[in-house]
Amino acid sequence: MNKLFQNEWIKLFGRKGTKVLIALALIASVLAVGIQMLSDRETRVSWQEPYQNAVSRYEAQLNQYPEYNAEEWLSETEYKADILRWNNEIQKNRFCLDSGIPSWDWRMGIVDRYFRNMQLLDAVRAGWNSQDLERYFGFPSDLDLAQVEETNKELMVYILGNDYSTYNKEQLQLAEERLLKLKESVFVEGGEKTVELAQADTEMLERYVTYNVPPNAKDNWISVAIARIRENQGNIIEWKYEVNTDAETARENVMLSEAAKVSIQKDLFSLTNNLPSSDIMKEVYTERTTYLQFFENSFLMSASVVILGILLAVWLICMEYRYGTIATLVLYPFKRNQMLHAKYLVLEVMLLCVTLLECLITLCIGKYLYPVSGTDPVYMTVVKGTVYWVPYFAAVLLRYLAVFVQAVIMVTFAVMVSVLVRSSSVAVFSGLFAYLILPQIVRMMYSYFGKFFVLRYEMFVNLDLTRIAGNLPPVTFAEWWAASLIVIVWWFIFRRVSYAVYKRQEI
Amino acid sequence: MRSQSVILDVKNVTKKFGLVTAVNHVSLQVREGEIYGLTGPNDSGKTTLIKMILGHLRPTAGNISVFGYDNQKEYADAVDFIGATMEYPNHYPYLSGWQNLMMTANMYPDVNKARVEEVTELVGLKSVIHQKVKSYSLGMKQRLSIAQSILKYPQLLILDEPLKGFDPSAMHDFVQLMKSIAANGTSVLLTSYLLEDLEELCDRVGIMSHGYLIAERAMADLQVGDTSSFTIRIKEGSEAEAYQLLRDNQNKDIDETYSFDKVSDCIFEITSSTMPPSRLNRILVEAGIDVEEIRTHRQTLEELYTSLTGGAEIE
Ligand SMILES: Nc1ncnc2c1ncn2[C@@H]1O[C@H](COP(=O)(O)OP(=O)(O)OP(=O)(O)O)[C@@H](O)[C@H]1O
Ligand SMILES: [Mg+2]
Repeated sequence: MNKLFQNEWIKLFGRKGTKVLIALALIASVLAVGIQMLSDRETRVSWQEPYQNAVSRYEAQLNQYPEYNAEEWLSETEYKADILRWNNEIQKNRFCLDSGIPSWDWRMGIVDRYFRNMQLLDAVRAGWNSQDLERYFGFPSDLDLAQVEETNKELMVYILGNDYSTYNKEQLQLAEERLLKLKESVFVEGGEKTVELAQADTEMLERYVTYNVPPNAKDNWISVAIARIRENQGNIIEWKYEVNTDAETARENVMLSEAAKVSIQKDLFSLTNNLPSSDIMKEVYTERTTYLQFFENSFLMSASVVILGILLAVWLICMEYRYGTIATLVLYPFKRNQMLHAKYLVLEVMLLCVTLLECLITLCIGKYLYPVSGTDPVYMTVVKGTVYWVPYFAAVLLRYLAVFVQAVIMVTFAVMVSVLVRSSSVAVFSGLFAYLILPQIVRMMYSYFGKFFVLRYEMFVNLDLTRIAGNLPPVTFAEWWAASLIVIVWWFIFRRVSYAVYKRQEI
Repeated sequence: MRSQSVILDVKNVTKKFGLVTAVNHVSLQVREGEIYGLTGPNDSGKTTLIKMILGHLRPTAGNISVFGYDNQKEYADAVDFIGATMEYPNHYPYLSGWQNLMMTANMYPDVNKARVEEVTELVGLKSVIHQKVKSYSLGMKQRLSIAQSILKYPQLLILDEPLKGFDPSAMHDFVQLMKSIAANGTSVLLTSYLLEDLEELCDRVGIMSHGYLIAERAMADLQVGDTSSFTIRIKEGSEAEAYQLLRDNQNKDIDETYSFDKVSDCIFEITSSTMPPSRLNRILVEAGIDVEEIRTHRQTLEELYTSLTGGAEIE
């Protein structure tokens, strides 16, 4: 067996093409840096730049706007509404620029509110009637202008003072009062749902106060986690009260709710243990690219390992037929099954090495070029209601392991087809088709045919094991364990078929 | 000869590919130390028969045993004795000849590097053995195949068209090599269209046609038992004397009868199964007639082949 393995190794690596393919697969992981750089060039700009762009854009629009002309516009009010709106935007962006408030700052929400109110006040000063205000700006007609002005003064204090502690406390108090009032009132518009949403708001604000973090700050992971919990709660409540849904949508809602609950559980775990999950860190704004973002990007390249596996497997099998060497091979004092076994083994060892190398290259580049992590994240998963976590780097390894398993399974399929048809072009096509295209087709057809669609037991659509690692089922219709089971059963069948055919076939 | 043990025993083997019957009830035996040549026109089923012996194809009917092991039921045991080359040279072209041989050597615990070197020398590939096989000529590939097949000291050597691509000197080397291998007790089964070379090399020859084994001859029988002829060229000027002498001696001795023909001025063709050319030579020389050349024409394998296969074209 050892000798057979050696021979297969010589056959595989004695060929230049093998080395070239492996080099290409590894270069792909280096290429991720290039992709990261490109995407950084798009997104990594100074915080002022978006504001400056917005200001000049609106100014240009205003300057190019022709004089009002009754024949061309529907109404003069609409014409004026545009001008009002654009002026308001210019003011807002200028304000942010002057007061040094970047877009990820927690005060952004307050600034938005402030300028929305300004829009109202400006319109009233310009003589708009309440009917037009509602029609063109969506302001309710029963607004108390004095109250609005008062609110804006308060908002400005917070903006300039940058005092989120007090703001949080005040907001919490307001929310609690509102909740109490809702609970006490006999008739509530929206019923239970409104109460539950208000309850969720209160909980969120309580957390902002407890952890004493700026609310809705995009650059603070605790704040991001708290906002995300509220968002998931909101969705769960919406799905719960959704009426008039067909059975399929209802089922989907249940599944989505389950996923949302898992997400909430993880975020709460992160908060209480001060361990930000990688899920959260992905959403946190950082001024420089972090290795976490780089890994996410470079991980897309790992498909190259699977494709490499398919190509080399097909070659290693089919070349024996093409060169006619299969005839001498079967004369050696080993069982045919052992020969095939050695081929499998060589391919698997080769893939393991390539996967680990690719992982290593990615880790090194990531650590070297993108040393900033924000806060060191952990990888979290929930199994049967319990949260488990590992350091993020271990998770990177695990993900590459999933890629390896995927590659091994695709190799088995490619070997089987190669043994059956003995034609490398047909085998390569089948392998790539099954890996890249078939899952898309099945997913698409599933959405037409619904849950009775039998093709969901097809293997390849269940194969995206990295989704399982991310707590997502590979397909919306199978639990992760069901998907894994389907994959294992198919893998076993492919393997058996390849042995059975190889053993019996005439040469 | 008959007493030697049977190494390869093909019994009543038939192979059908759909409607085509490639091999039809063929039985043959190869004995210890024997070189058996198989010939026949294209499509006659030689390769198919060999593939069945090697276990590449399963016979539709009949069975084959090697050293008494059935090559279907006890494949590993049967194949253990066999070394083989295929109809087309088959190597990994992107590897060197040496690597190809070493991979085969790897498969047999008792074949070491020294043996690989020895065999390389034996087939005359030493100078090119470290070049890639894709740079080899057909003859060189053929030699590599033979080297590969004899590496493990097989007791039965099966060669499908091993002579293809050999120049005369290579052919000579090959014949010597096979003879020495056979002298050590290895049996050889080979196919070829080169009838003269088969004649020189083989102990027995089988002729196949349309899937049947239509004739089997020991070369010794072929040479002794069948009529042969030879031509004699004498020195210019003594044609008349020679003619006279030949006529006189024609039926002189009952054990040395012959018939003859004057082919051209100085050349006579003699047909006989009993008169050896050397004897007639002496008669002529003793009578003072200088003999310039004697050319023997036994009934050749070629003639047998032509008569049996109806002169089917050999390509
Ligand atoms: N795998 C196969 N499938 C179908 N028919 C086959 C197969 N192999 C051989 N044959 C047929 O069997 C017949 C005998 O072929 P074979 O190769 O044995 O002849 P051969 O005597 O070796 O000819 P050649 O002298 O040209 O090598 C041919 O008619 C061929 O078409
Ligand atoms: Mg042939």
